[in-house]
Amino acid sequence: MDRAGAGAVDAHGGTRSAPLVGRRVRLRPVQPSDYEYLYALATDDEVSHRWRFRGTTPSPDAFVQLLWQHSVVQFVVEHKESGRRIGHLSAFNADDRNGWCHIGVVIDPALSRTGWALESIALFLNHLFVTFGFRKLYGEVLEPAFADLASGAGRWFRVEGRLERHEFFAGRYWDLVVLALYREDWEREGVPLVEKLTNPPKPPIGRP
Amino acid sequence: MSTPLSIDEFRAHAAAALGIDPAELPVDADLRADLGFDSIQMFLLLVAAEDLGVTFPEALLPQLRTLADAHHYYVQHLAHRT
Repeated sequence: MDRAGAGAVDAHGGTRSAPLVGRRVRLRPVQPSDYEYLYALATDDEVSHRWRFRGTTPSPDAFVQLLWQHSVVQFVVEHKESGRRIGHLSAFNADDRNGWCHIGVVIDPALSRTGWALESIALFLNHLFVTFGFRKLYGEVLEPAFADLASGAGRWFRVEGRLERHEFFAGRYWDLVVLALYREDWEREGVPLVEKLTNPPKPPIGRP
Repeated sequence: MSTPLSIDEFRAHAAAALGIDPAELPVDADLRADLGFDSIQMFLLLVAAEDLGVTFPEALLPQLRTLADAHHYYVQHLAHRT
């Protein structure tokens, strides 16, 4: 099986690790000093209903234990220029025998409108495919959040399940959509994207 | 000195990156409100525009409502750099 990704093989045929720094963001491992930030992010009004705690507020101690439970890798997303933390990415519940794991993504809701913070997700997916042998990665999103990603279906991910009226939020039950990101889809679409994001900017391009 | 891409050339470049027909990308349509762009499409559009060597300041991004807005910034930036 071809397990390439951006960063797996460099231009000279050597190997190197997946890049974790893009145009506007960098990923770095979670440190104990991040716990307070991650707790605030996970319990934010706009985030908590779709993140793992689903609106509950676990104790800070329980939060830290749960944070590392079944964890494969997690990163804090930092804005390169300011150093400000803007999100949390995690891979968990890996099934090594069958080559898959689950991913969780939380980005500061204030940044979602313009889309640029999605760069961090591209770097993260690339890291998972380059560093581990996963065939596919699963994400689960509630119907309202899926609407903001729907254009990616068929190109970036495949919709592999829909649990109807699965979760209660904002006074009603919503569908839970199960997304799968396949290695072959990533190699076709994601690797060229990450190469763009991690290479130096081009000089301005116009017509000669 | 290079001449900036025309709005039609810019639109064709962006549409190719988005995997859509240029006709589906009217230059004056509001990307979110009229065309229903989601976060993935906004991100891919930004990457495509920046592939032309222009870095869009983050403070400007919430104000980019149309493809024409993005082209306008690209043209201004190119003129500034050349």
